[in-house]
Amino acid sequence: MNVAAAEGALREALDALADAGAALRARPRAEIAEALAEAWEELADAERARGSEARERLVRSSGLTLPMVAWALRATLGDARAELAALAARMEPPPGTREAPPALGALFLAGNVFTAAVAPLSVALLARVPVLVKASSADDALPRLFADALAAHDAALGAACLVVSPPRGAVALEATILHRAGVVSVFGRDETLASIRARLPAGTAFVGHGHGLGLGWVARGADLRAAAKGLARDVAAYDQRGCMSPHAIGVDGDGAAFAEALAEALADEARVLPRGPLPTAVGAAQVQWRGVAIARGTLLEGDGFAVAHEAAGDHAPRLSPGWRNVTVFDADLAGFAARAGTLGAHLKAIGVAGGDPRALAAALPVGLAPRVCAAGAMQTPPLGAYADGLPPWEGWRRFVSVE
Amino acid sequence: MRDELARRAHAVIASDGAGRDALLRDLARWQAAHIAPYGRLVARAAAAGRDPLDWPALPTDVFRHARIAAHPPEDDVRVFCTSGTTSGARGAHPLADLALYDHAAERAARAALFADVERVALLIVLAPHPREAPDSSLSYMLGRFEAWFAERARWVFPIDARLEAALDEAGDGPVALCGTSFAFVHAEDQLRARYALPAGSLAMQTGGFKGRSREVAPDALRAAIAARYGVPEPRVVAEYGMTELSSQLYERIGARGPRRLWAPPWVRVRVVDPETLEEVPDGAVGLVRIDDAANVGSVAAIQTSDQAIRHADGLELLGRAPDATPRGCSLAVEEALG
Repeated sequence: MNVAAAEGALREALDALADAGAALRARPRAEIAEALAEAWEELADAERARGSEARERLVRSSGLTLPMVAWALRATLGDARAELAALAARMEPPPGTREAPPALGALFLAGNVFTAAVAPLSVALLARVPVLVKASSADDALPRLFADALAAHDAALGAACLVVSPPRGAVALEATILHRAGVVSVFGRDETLASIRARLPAGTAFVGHGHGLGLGWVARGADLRAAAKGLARDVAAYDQRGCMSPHAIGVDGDGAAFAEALAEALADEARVLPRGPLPTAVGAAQVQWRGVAIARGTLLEGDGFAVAHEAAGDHAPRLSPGWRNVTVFDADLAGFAARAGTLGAHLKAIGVAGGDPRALAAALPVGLAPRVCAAGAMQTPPLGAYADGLPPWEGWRRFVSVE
Repeated sequence: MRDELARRAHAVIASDGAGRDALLRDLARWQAAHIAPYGRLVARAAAAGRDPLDWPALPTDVFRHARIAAHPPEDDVRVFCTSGTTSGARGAHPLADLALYDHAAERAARAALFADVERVALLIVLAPHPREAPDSSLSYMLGRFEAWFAERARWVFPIDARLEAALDEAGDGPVALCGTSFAFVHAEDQLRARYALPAGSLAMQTGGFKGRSREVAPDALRAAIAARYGVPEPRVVAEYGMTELSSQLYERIGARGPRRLWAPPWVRVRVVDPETLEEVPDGAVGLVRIDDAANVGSVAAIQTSDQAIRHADGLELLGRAPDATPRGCSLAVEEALG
């Protein structure tokens, strides 16, 4: 790669992106929401060219099976039009203010869950901020197809969205991006967040969403089969690679019976949404995790999944390597909340079965801010859902106080 | 029964593996009956009537979570511990008797490392002395090397000026330099002079880096050691040992061609599929499973996380499986498992 030429091209692209901001800022938000919905719906529709291409490319790049990719697109984008309209309405400026969005924003995407691009990309454009999306070259299919679809539906909006996939370690190119953006959102490893934050100019807004995972909670008296069905979908979705995927499930009641119900439900999931191929690195971790599970308690293994039921203790829940390996442990509400607290800011979501999510949220230790939702919905957050305790537009909306 | 199994293990080691598989079968049955976590692991395979050689092997992580020994703690004469993880949990391998460990370690090292040198004039060890690290199986083994294979020894750890002094002591007789890979890297960073150790000298490095030094590719480190100490590259070899084992694998001294690990004949090494745990064909990548007939008091069948390819002439070790999978914001396996 000729670095100087690449930097020059990137600067020109950023200039054009910033120029597109003028038209974007003049557009009614509802109109932007409508155009976004058109583009996302095209990708969700397997019968349309881009939707078909999305499936083909995402199966290759994500390591997920075709049924899983198709489910993920449907589950994330199926109701996008209504959600985008609602989100647009929530993003209007508060009284006594005038909107003053950053001239340019940068969005750094992670590669573990491809649909994670949908909400932040939509929010950036609804905030009327031209956005540069940095995706890994191995996993940039969805943002690129979205940008193409958006440009086809609405050229002015398409000009406000640029997707780049510089090679790993392209520090100079990253620096060019970081010095132009007024807001930088990063999804990825904690090390990536720290590295980017350290290189930002002092006045740039930074929003980081780092390493994370989810837990499940089955309340006393819950219907175990229904709870297992919902949480099995949460485990199976994206082959448990998401930052909201449950790795351990606390049960206030008969944990052994729930573990059996969960194993049955995961077997059902495997038929509907088969797991993708197991990478060797994960296989190595899986062998160790399953061995320890047998040594410490009970392991229920199936085709491409395993459920461990381990005796309760004061320690943090034993987390799994993902890829549909999940720990079940016995705990009452207070015990579960205390163990959830050991995960700190890494805890991104809790799926609740058979109980009131508000009661669980109220029991969490101070400082935790995971998303708390019903079992079965952990991997399909609404576009407007808070993440890490922050609204989705954090950093992307700015206002002038007019007094 | 334990004494009888130990007697048979000594015989298998002394006879270079004769009767190994029969012993491994009997060890699996006896250990399953006396070590509960292993018994639970193999219960289903045993109930199904499978050959004990094909029962699941005990994953190394279990040594961090449960006591793996057929004897009570009061009978421990030594407990070797792993170097730990980010959560601080360390695996422990309790031993009631060091005779088998010694027998296996001496015979393997004699065959692979000291095959053409009865005793080296000087052993330089780049690792802690057993007095300083009584729970390190590597330090223990190198301490035994001093007695078995060397006229005298110098222990240098951490790496400092004592290393130059030790190297200056080398006379006409062969020298053996043994230590951890990261200690050799530290030495490389500190030494300025180059040495020409006497004919017959050798170097043995073991283990990874685990953040304790800069990482150096195996080929580069081997070349650096050869150049630094004046030892021909075929006499710079790697050892593969684990706290959970009593026997060690080696690259054989003087071997030409691609680097391969040699397993002593009382050790059965297989490369298995990470999901099915079935043996993969030669040439395919899988995880290393080791059945060590010298592990009588704990568990003989050990499942590692190390990736390797089996060839007709030995094992090509690829190291820990690389984290090639995109994880993004999902918690990394290492952190999740603590």
